[in-house]
This record gives sequence, structure tokens and C-alpha cells, in this order.
Amino acid sequence: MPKRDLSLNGALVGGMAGWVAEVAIQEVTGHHVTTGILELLGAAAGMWRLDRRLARSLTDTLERAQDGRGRDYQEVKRRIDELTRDLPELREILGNMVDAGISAQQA
Amino acid sequence: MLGLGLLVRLGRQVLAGPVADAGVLPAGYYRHLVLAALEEEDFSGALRHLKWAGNPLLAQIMVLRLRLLSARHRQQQVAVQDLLASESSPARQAQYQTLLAEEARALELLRDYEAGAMAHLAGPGRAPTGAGP
Repeated sequence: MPKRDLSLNGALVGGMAGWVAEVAIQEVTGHHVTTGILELLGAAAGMWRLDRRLARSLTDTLERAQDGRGRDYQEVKRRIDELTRDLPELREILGNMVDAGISAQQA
Repeated sequence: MLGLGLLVRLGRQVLAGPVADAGVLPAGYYRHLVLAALEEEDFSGALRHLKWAGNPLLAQIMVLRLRLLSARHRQQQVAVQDLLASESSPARQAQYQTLLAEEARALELLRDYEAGAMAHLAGPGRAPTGAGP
């Protein structure tokens, strides 16, 4: 295995050069480059995981319907049915999720 | 160099505000914005981008969350009304009246958001009612 030469001075100089470049661009443009890049990366990651985030949003909604009081699934199902009479797609999806919970509870 | 700075700032402001609010970006980007707003319970932000998200399920999730929140506020309203009815101290009564006014304002705001979200669900055979059960 070849020996790796690590230079502490090189790392310090590189870090300092990056910081100076960031500060210079910030002074000229008035914007934090790193913040902008992080914002872009965040938006890209968010768009990449849309399906998973939508699923998590449904799970969160179901937890809110339980109201954190340890309600049983039948009661949660009644509550969701009552509140989603005019929201057919959501009613079906959440109904299936609650049914899965009821089956798991009975098993 | 100053001109370059102004140009970059102008470009960013145009992209972040008018371009995003003009609905010309991909629907996936608006779904991301709506989901992010819902995660932070920023209903006005979610409502602003909902029309370009192109996903009725997002609007339905928002409506249900608003109804759940309204139900919680109604429960709090009833609890404060009970406390007010059994309170004899004028100072405490004034505090409860203030709380009731705040609850009423919150409920009104939530109703407005719900009506806005329901408007995105309006289609053939699905009229926006604007009022939850």
C-alpha cells in the first residue's frame, strides 16, 4: 500500500484560501456562496425524495388524527371518516393505513 | 465589480420571487415547496404554491390537517368557556375573554386557509364547500 503524504500546512492553506474566496465573493455580491449552494442541494434532495416525503406526510397526518392520546384504531378510523367525507383519495389511503394497523393489532 | 454584485442580487431576487410565484418552474419543485411548508405548518406558504404542485392529494392532506387543528382549537375554546363560566374574579374573566378572542381569530384563519385549499380541489362533481364537518 503506497504511503500517503498528508500535509497539515497544505490543509490549512487550502482552508484559508477557501474562506478568503467566500468572504471576497460575499463582499462583492452580498451573498453567501456556501449558503446558496446548501440551499440548492437541499432543494435537490427534497425533490429527489418527493415520494418518501409524501408518504411521511401521510404518516404524520395519521399521527395527528390519533391526537397523541393513545386512541385505538377504530376510533381513529371513525374520526378520519368523519373529517374526510369530501376527500375521497385521502380517505381511501388513510383508511388502508388504519386497516393495516387494526390487522397488526389483532395479529 | 459593484455592477456584477447588483446583477447577481437582481438575478437571485427575480428567480426566488417572481419566477417561482409565476408558476413556471417544474411541478416537482412546487411539490417540494408545499411539502416543506406543511412540515413547518406554514399553511399560507403551502397555499401559495399549491396550485402549481399538480397533486390533489397534497391539497387534501392540507385540508385534513387544517380540520384537525380546528377541532383542537374548538376543544380549547370549550374548555376556556367552561373556565370562564365558573370564574368570579373580573381579572381572570378578562384573561379568559382575551383567550376566547384569540381562539376565535385562529379558527377564522384556519377556515380561510381551508377554503383556499378546497378551491384547488374544485372540479367536476366536487364543489368547494370551504367548511369542514
